This record gives sequence, structure tokens and C-alpha cells, in this order.
Amino acid sequence: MLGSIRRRLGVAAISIAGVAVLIFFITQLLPGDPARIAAGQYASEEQVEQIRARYGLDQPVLAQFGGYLADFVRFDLGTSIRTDQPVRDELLERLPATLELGLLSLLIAIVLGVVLGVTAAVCRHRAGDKIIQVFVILASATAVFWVALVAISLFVNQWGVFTSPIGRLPRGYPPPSHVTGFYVVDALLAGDPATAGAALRTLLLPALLLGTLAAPSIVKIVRSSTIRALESDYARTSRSFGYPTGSILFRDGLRNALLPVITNVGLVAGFVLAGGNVLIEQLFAWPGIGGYAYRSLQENDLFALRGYVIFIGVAYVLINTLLEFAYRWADPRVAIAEET
Amino acid sequence: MKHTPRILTAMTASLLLLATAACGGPPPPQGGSGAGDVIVAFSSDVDTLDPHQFRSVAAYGVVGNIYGTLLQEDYAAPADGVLEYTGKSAPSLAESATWNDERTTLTFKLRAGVTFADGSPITSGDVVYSLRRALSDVGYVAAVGAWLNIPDVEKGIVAVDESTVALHVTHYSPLIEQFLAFQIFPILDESAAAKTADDPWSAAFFAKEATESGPYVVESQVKGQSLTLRKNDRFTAMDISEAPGSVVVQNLPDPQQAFLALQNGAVDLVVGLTPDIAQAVEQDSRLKLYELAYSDVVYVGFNNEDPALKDVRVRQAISHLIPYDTLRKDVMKGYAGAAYGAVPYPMTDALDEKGDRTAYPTDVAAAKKLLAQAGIGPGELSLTLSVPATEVTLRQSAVFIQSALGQAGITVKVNEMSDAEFNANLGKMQMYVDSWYSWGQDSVYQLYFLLKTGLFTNYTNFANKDVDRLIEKAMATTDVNERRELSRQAQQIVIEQAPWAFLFTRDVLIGARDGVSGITHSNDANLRFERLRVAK
Repeated sequence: MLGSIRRRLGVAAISIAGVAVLIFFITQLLPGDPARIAAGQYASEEQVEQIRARYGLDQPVLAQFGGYLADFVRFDLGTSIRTDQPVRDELLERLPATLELGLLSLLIAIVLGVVLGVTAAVCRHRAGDKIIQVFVILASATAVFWVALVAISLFVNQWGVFTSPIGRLPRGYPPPSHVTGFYVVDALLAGDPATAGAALRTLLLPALLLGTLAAPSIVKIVRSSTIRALESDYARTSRSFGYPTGSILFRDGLRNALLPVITNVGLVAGFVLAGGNVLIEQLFAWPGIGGYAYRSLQENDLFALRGYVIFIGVAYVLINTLLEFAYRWADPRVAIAEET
Repeated sequence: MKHTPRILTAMTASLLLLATAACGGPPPPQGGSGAGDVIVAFSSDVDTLDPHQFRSVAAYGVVGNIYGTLLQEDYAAPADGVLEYTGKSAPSLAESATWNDERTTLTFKLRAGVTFADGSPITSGDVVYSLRRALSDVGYVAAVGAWLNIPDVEKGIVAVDESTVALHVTHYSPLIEQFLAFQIFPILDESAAAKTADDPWSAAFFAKEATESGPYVVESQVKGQSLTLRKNDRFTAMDISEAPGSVVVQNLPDPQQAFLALQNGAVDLVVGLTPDIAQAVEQDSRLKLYELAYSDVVYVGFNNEDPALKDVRVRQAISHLIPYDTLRKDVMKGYAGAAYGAVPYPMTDALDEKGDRTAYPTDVAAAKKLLAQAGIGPGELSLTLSVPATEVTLRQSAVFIQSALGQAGITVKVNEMSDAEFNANLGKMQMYVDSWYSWGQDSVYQLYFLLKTGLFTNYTNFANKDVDRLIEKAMATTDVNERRELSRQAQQIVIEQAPWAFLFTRDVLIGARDGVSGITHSNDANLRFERLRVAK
């Protein structure tokens, strides 16, 4: 067991090192001169050169790479060209907002994905299944920005169900004191249910959208693996023993169907934390790391962009490592196979 | 195994609970009073608090309102919610600004009792430090500051006594007082700044700390989302008793979403609307559109060193093919003016005094004739037109231009580029669509930066000795009338040489909730928050 954990952590460390190396060379290929952009359009060549020297951009690529690796080991992600602040601090400051949105979206995606996937499997080839298939196609194919704007127009402006998305709290609510960085939690800890409710109302619309957009892959996997499980020999045996359908569905079908879902959750987590969130954060003015990355990309803020990609790369590796442990826990055959 | 149904039930229940919590409860308090008396939305966030290093419009909105200046722009009484700049400067932190007889020394006397927000007095030492910092290499303001005609800051900016500062200039220019009213020349607290050998101008400190000397102070900031300003009770340079108690500078990057937020009262003002959104604002009776004319010129830059564009007749022909009216009507939805040359109306000393002239009216026949004279037949000219992809109006303009040039057999490839790539290639592209706005709207300033031979902002590589000579003479003269005449001669040559196709000028479009007024039509296109008024 301990050996397996060590092995997996070792693989994770190697993956992170690989990610770091890859990111450095990929960001070198970005178009545009970061020093010129940092200096602004009024800057002379002399000023641009000074900035280039200040950020070490005048060094040969290999020298830059050496410095980058030394900083990376210390988790120093450099200084943002745009804001002149340490990238690590800026990302950590915005991380709670992204996590709060991402985790709720992930929860919504999992619940929605499992419920709809099981329903589709049970209603296979009937109306319920077909409706869910249509939902899957629509959710996969519809443009995020269009859905988001329509949702804001209907649910906020027309029907007033949610608050206007101008950040993490609606107008009139000051942020709660920082404890976890999650506004809903922090407001509850501060004994302020009104602010907690307001934060939740603001959070829910982008989370529902992001969760809904992330759910289709889970629906598809749950559907197919549930159908496979329900058609298996053990399910057939259960039926022949006269077990009720519900029991067979949840005991034989869903449990076995959840194994591939765990693998898929890693990808979905990546999507809600580092893919779909970029546009959603932009559209909902959500002050997370996705919006930060978007602006950094627009302005060719090399260090901020590189820091963001490293952050996400490391998060991906860690999520997948955790999921491997979860998979091992959920399916004892994996552990047995490894130990033998 | 037995827990599986329960887990599923719990997950479903939690989802329903969340939905119920969000949908239930009292309606959200939108609009009206709240943590901020006024919420102003920008499409960018506040990148830094350093008044000499900011890049985003939102950051300028903040630094321009937390720092005081020696002089301020003078505004006429409000008319239809707008305060027009009178073209004059008025005292602010300085109670007086006096030229000597030779007009080589400008002496400022600080207003008695002016302090920073922490109560410490503003001294002549702070003024000297601040102006020298502005003219240093810490930021890009030095390029603008060069127009103060102070070549040596050590000798040129000196404290006479505790409350008096003298600026020794090489020669008088009408721009000096005008520029000193810009909020890029604010007064900072030298004693609060932590200097190091690596950071002599305390760039790291001022990037995130403010030593406020203006009408507002920074109360709080949620990075990437908003920054809240509170009225500075210690600001005595003007009466701000009727100014909003607090102003929230809100980041709303998506224009449609900003419009929806304006509609539902989540924000009071949206600065920098796109033409489409401006139209939508006009159609909503609860909203008001402020349409402010500026000389923000949109142009097609021709690389004057490119073999295909070296011949002036080719550039003139292309200029004749541009569908100017269509661009103003269909791309800008009418929120644009005519651009007669590189110095369009309403710039000071513009050749076009009414904003209704076009240098090269759309004329396909004339274009074909010029191309024939240049030895170019139909289908013989292929060009690449680059455009920054994020600028919607520029991108749309490029498509219209592509189509229009096709009428004379010119093939145009539109190359959409990221902002970073576009900016990095300025000066190298064959043909590009871009815009430029000169603070101060001064003709000589504009000609200098965009058309002076060899200057780093002369992105078309235009080179004309006569224009250079006229610009230099205009910069050197102290006679306002002579300056105007020299500028106009240079403008005329530029029109004839057609280094650009002068497309149109863009208005600054501000959407507001009904009842919000006090919009400053300022020279630097920045709002003065203390002038805003919100009807209750």
C-alpha cells in the first residue's frame, strides 16, 4: 500500500516537472514582445530594453530556463508585467473565487450527470432516454457565451430569480471577513445569513451553467456503464433471485457504473476549474483565476500566463493522483492487482 | 453498497436545496442605495494604483480620482447632464500658477492647508518629487512630459519654499498648463514611499498603495472585480459636499453583460459602450446615452516603405475606395465623426472646423484612374490588412474595406491578430486598421507622435522633411497663431501624401441609468467622479 502511494506520488512529481518544462518552452512561442507591451506605446527603445533586463528577458533562452526552474522549485512564479505584483500572490488571491465556483459546478455536474445517466439507462430507447440525449447534444454543442447571456437576460433581468452578476456579491453587500475565501462559508461563519444567501444567489447561476455544460460527458459514461452493468451476468442473477429492480439498479448497476465515472470526474474537474471557467468568469465578471488568465493572454503578460498554466497543470496532476487513489478505494481489484 | 441510494438521494437533495435557497428569500437589493452610491463599470480591471504606470482605463479612472493635481480642467455649467471642458485650466491643489514676464518660469503656490488623506501636509517637496517621478523612466508618462519643455528635472523643477514650486522651461507652450491638469501629473506623498536602490521611484509601493491627495480614497479592493472609493473628507481644494459618498469601480468585461447590469440597476454607469450596445441603451427609456465627441481617429495605416504602397497614387487610390459613410453608419451606428486628415475635428487647430469634411471622398472611378497612372491594373495588387481581433469596430471596418477595395480589383487578405501580436508588429505590417487618441487633442502633439520621421510611434514609417520641419517649428514657437499656421501646413501635406486612409473619429459612449448626470467631457476622456450626481 505504502509503496503504491510512493509510486504514484513519484509519478505525480515527474509529471509536474514535465509540465513545468513544457510550459516554459510553449510560452516562449507566444507572439508579441512582453517588454514592449509592458512599456506601453509611448516607451522608447531604451525603456523597452530596461524592462527586458528587469524581467531577465534579455538573457539567452537557456539562462532564462535555468532561472525559471530555480524559481519554480521555490514556487516563485515571477512578477506580472501588467500589475507589477507577484503572480503567485495574485493567483492565490483569486483562487478561492474559482474554487467556490468550480466545486459547486462540479457537484452540480456530478449530480446531474448521474441522475440523468441512470435515468437514460433505465429508460433506454424510450422517450426519457431520447430527451436526455437531446439535452446532452444541446449542452455539448451550445456556445457558452450565448447561453450565459440568455440566462442572465431571462433569470436576472426578466424574472429576477438571480442577482445581477457583477462579481461574487450583488450590489449593496460588502464581502465577509476572510476566513476560507469562500463567501458563502465565510458569511455563515460570520453569522451573516443574509450575505451568505446573497453570495449563494450570485454563485448559483454561473455554477448551474458551468455544471450543466460539464455534465454531458458524465451522462454519457453513466448511461453506457449502467446499461452494461444491468446487462451483466450478476445483474441477471439478481433478477432471477427476485431482487427488486431498484435494488438491482443501485446495488449492481450504479455502483459498478461509478468506476468509470470517477475517471471522468478528473476531466470534468479540469474543465470546470481550468477550461469552462475562463469564459464563464469573463461573462459573469467573476474574479477568479480564469478571468485573470484571459486578461493575461490578451495583454501578453508572459509571467502571469505562465503562472496560471503551471497552476492548472499542477492542479490537474494532483486531481488525477487523488482520483487514482479513489479508484483504488472504489475497486479493490485494482489494489489486489497491484499488490500481486 | 447499501449506502449508494442514500448517497444519490443526498446528492439530489443538496442540488434541490441549493436551487431553493437561491430562488427563495427576499428579492435582491438591486439599484438605489447600497455599499456604493455610484457604481461605474469599465471593461477592464484596475491593474495598478501607480499613476505613472497604469494601462487599463479603469485604473486611470481610479488614479485620476484619488490623486489631486496642481491645476484642474475648468468645466462649464452642466448642460443635459454633461460638463464641457472650457479649454482653460483652473486652480486645484495650487491656488495660483503664474508665469514670469519672459514666460520661462511657471510658479505654483500651494493652497493653504492642503493635505494627503492621512492628514500629513502636502509640501513643495512632494510636488517636486511627484513631477520628477512623472518625468522619470519609471513609467511611460515621460514621453508626454517631454512637452513640458523641462530638459533637466533637477534644475527645472525646484522648491522655492515650503509651499512654492517653480518650473523652469526652455520656452512657453500652451500645452504646459493643459498637461499639468492631466491626472498623470498627480501629487504623491514622498515620505510614504519606500525607496530602494533597485526601486528608486518606489514602483512596487505605488503599484498597490495609494497616498491619496484627491477627492477620493481607496476603501477596499476585490482584485479582478471591483475597487471601492470613499470620499476624502480631508480634500479641501474644491467643494465636494455634493459628490457621491462612495464610488465603486466595477470590472464588467463583457459589453452585453454590462448592458444587462445597467438595465437591471446593478450598475449606474457603463463607460466605453460598443455602438451596438449604445443603440440598445438609446432604445431603453430608463437609460440615457451620453455621446461625447472626441478626436479618437480610426485609420488604415499604410506602410510607406512597402514596395506596393510606396507610390502616393496607390495610397490615394485606396483612400478613394474606402466607404466612409457606410463605416460611420453601419459599423459605428452613427456614433462617429468625419476624419479630415490626421488631425480631425474636434482637435485644436484642425483644418476641418466643423467635422464634416472627407479628405478622399469615396470615388471608385478616381481610384481606378490613380491605379492606372501608377501602372497597376485590375487584379495586380494584393494586400494584407491586419487588425486587432478584440476591437470589434476595427474588425468590422476591415471587412467593409476588403469588400470595397475589391471593386477596383485589389485583393485584400484580412489578418486578425491578437492584441499582443498586433502591437508587437506595429511598424512592420503592410496595412493595418488602428486608432489613436491624443490627450489634449493638440494638433502638433498628434502630428509629432504619429508622423515625425523615425519616431517609434510613427507606425507607417512616413517620412517627409517638410512635415518634420513644420512640426519642429511649431513645437519651438511661443506664438499661438504661428503654431496654428505651421500645424495646418503640415496637416495639408499629410492629407496630400495620404500615409493613412483617415476613416472616422469615434465618440466615447457612456450608458447611464436615468437620473445619473455630471459626465465630464474632459480632455483626457476620464470621468471626474466628484462631479457625478445621482437623482434619488
